[in-house]
Amino acid sequence: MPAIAASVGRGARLAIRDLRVGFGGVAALDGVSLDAAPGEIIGVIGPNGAGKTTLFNCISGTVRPSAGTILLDGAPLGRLPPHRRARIGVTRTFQNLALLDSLNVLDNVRLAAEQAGRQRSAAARADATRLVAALGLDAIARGPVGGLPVGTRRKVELARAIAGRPRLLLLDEPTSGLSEMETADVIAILRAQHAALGFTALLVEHQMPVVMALSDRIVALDFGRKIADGTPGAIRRDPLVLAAYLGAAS
Amino acid sequence: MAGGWGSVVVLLQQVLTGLATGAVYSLLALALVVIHQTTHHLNLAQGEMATLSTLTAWQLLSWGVPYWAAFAVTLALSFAGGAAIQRLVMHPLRGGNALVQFAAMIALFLLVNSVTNAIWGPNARAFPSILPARPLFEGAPISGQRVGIILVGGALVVVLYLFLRRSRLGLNLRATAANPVPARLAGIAVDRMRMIGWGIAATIGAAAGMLLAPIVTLDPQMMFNVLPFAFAATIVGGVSSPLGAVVGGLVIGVVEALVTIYAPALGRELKLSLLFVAILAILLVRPEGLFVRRTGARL
Amino acid sequence: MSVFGRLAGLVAARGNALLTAAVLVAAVAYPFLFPGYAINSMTMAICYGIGIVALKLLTGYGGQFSLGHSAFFALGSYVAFILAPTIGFAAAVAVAGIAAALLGALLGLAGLRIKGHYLGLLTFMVALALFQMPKASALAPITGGSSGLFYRAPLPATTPAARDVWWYWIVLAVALAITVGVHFLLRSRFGRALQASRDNALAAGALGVDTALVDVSAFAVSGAFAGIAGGLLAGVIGYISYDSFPYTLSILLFVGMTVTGARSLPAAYLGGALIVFVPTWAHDITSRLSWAVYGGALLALLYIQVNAPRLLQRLTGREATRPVGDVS
Repeated sequence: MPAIAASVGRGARLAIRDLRVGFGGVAALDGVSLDAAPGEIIGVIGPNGAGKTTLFNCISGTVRPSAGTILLDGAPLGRLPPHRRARIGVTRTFQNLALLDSLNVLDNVRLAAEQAGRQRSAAARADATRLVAALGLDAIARGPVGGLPVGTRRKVELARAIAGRPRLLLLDEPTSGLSEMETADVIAILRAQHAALGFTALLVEHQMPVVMALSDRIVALDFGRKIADGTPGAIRRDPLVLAAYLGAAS
Repeated sequence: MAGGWGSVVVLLQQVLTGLATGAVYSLLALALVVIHQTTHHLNLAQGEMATLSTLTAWQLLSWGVPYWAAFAVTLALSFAGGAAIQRLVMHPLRGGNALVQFAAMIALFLLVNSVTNAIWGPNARAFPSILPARPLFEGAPISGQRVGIILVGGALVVVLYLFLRRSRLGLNLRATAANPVPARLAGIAVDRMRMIGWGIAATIGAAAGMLLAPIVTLDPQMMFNVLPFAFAATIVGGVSSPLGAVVGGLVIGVVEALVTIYAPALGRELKLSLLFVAILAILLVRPEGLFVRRTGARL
Repeated sequence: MSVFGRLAGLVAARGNALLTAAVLVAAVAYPFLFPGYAINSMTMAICYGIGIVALKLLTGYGGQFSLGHSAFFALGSYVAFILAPTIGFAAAVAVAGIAAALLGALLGLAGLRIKGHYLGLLTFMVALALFQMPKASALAPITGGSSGLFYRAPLPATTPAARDVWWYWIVLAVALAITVGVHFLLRSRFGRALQASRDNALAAGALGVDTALVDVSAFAVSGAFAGIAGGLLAGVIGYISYDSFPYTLSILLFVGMTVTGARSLPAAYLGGALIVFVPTWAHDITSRLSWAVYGGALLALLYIQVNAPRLLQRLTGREATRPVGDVS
């Protein structure tokens, strides 16, 4: 796989400094700082409304933070629009699935491949075809994305985000709504692609086993603040995290 | 030549004239905003429906019905007509996408325009005004009928504004447009709200038409010529803001009156072109409208 | 699956190919089958068809509403006629396309700020505003004011009938080139980006699509094709005035696009034929209410289009299913 192999080890170093976002007086993010080394997978956990998706939206550029900086390999993203961020390797999946219904499965992936690099159309197409096959989607590659089951749709989104040659991959609940088997499948895909491509990743996920299985480190958010940051083992025992989750559950 | 005072009087006169026309623009713009707020549609046929209402009123008057009775009956008929159009035309097409809905409004536009033409013909008619056309008092810079337009139009605007913002029905109407699924789950009769929304918009359009008719020519084209200005008003004011539509309508009325007197050639021949350029400029510089406060984050 | 269902499936899968073949055969055979007066009407229908192809690119695939495509026709026709005496008709039509592209880009910029029905009404205003402009006294020396402009393009034909045939083939060739061009444009990187932007602008942006650039470009390209069609049509008729391309043409183009399927290119030419012939038919039914007939027919077609799946299911006796959450 020459085209893909060329980008191995190109995970970006992410540094977020004191990020703040306010929605009409309510702080969705209240001074969050976060670091990810190249190739690291960071789990981001927290109860609903903790600011996880807002954090993703800030990084991918659809929400403008009121203060703070996001640095990719030391360069601030500043006011870079979303599509420019995607082109320098910040790709993402969406919690509520955002496939493009006018395009078939292959073209969804191909679109991301041809927007990502300045590669020729044929090369992008070859990349997309390979990825679609690697994720076991080749049987439906020419079919419409509308009407596919959720598990398959999540995979198409994953393929699409990976086709964008990520240096930083943002995964917003990639196993939400999936069966146990499909979840295991997604975990295997992510592990294999991560080993091959070496991207840095942030993973928002509610299913703790998935976070534990994939993350090198875990960051916990609550009410827009970071309440914990450490290895999966340490986070599991962190009293603040337990309190936040129990508090949210009660 | 007109000295200092003379030109001030001319200016004042034009501003007042503009406010009267602007009040009508405001009303029609408000009708557009109301439909938008209840159905998320923009009704292309709004102007044609208003013309139909106005000619209905003219017909009643010509049969000898007293002014205010004709006014009230026309409003009631217009409400029923608007609701009926929603139920009979738009409701059966609810499964269609935005393209279909838009095409349906084009069809409505053609239908209503054609029917109006067929019934009343292309000739202009005189429509009586609430107050006499002579100046309000000796030497007043504005005619009585324009004062009437401002007063009645202003009152209607206030009533509507309060209705939409304060009443329970108004809240339900807005909830329906904002998000029909939770609105239905919350027990709001979404289908009925849409009918009421169309009914109200048709009623406002009728009022605007009847106020406007005395100062322009009443023919089947009347509101078609006004609709671009009402639409411009909603752009100036921000497409989802009732208050913005009202202010936008007044601003456009005054600017139009000033252009007419100070740049007559432009005003006569290129009125619509100017209006379009103005709209474009506003969209490019302040897309949220001139009177809507900018909000920070979006998404 | 019933025989009927299987047949419907075949038509759906191969429908566009069949339709393309049918339209092509009909187009080539037409001048031999129906010489004389009718050929001129068909040439005009093809010009309108180009306009509908342009509209399908913009609205059907790009999701941006335009009720202003008559403005591109008008602009294209005037630019073509004003320049043709100096630079020749073909070059003038090309410049007409460029001018219309610039207007399109301007509308595209506005389209970044307002969407859907509002964009439809804004573009409608352009059609109204441009309608007014040629008459303005400041422009009258160039546009011929309300008396309009005449231009007779040099063709290698002398009799009016032979000229009509020449025009037919010229217009058909341009239409073919534009339609094939749009077909491949839609299957290019740009075409995928355009449809992505329509489906979900947020997701498209996150994938690296510059949605603003794509949307504005689509408007410019669509405007250019409509402008070229306007220039050609003016050449065919040999005369233009301010009311050659009234706002009603915008309506007819939009309707022609909607009823022939927003995403089928060859069917655009059926839409073009509708524009030329339906008003005449409607007028034959009733002159006073011809537009009402047109509007009524349109509503009926829309009703069938929207409710056909449900009606078909009822016809074949199967349970009608509605998707969950469809409450609109």
